[in-house]
Amino acid sequence: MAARADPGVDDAGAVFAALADPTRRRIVHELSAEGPLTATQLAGRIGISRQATSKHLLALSDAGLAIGERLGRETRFELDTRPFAEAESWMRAIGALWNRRLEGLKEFLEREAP
Amino acid sequence: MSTTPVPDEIRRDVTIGVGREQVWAALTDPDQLKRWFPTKDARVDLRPGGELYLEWDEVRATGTFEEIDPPNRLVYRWHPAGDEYPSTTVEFTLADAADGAGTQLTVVERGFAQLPAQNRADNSEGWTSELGELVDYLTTTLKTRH
Repeated sequence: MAARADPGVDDAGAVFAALADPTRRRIVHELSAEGPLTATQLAGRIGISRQATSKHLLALSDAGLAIGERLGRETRFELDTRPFAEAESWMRAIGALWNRRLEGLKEFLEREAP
Repeated sequence: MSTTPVPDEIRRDVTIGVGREQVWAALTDPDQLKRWFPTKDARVDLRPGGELYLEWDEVRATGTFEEIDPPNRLVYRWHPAGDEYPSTTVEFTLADAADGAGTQLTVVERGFAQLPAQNRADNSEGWTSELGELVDYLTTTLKTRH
């Protein structure tokens, strides 16, 4: 057992890192509340420049959290919730690992140790 | 917004019918670690700043001991999936079990939502639970929309 210590660590790490920035968390909140928005729309809602918004959207896209769709001159972004689910299941998997380890420790100490 | 956060930490408790010294030894003695953790190889340099090394078939995890207070508390920071992946902190707390027979062992692994170094300066206190709520909200609520 324990061939893999951390399933999905790549994706989960990227999700957590992308969400470490407070502005990106606000963008995620806006996209989750309003549905797809352009960088210009998001910039207006959050009160930062369009350029700064685009930079954050790029980071969210790189982490797989946002998907851009070309719409005429602008790109409209929407959330992809799958990576969030992966991050969550990764946490569950690590919890399950600790369950097994502590069961193993208890059994080892109570049955095998002198 | 959901009010039930998915915490940024994993916390587990177990009551073991042996004394704290025995539990401590199992947590810090490489030969015992190999048997219960279980790992193929284990190396322990038990001092603050000393290295922890655990090896499985495909994964090697290295860590650094941060706190050593036998037989009460053991803290290390490690890369549980290999050095190229993020590190988390593992904290073991040993206490006498409530009924006096044995040890209550608590393990907390935290830091999954650790901030990249450049963002630490403006780290807000609420970030950890905020992330948990956000992930919880997005996984439970938004999924139904797709």
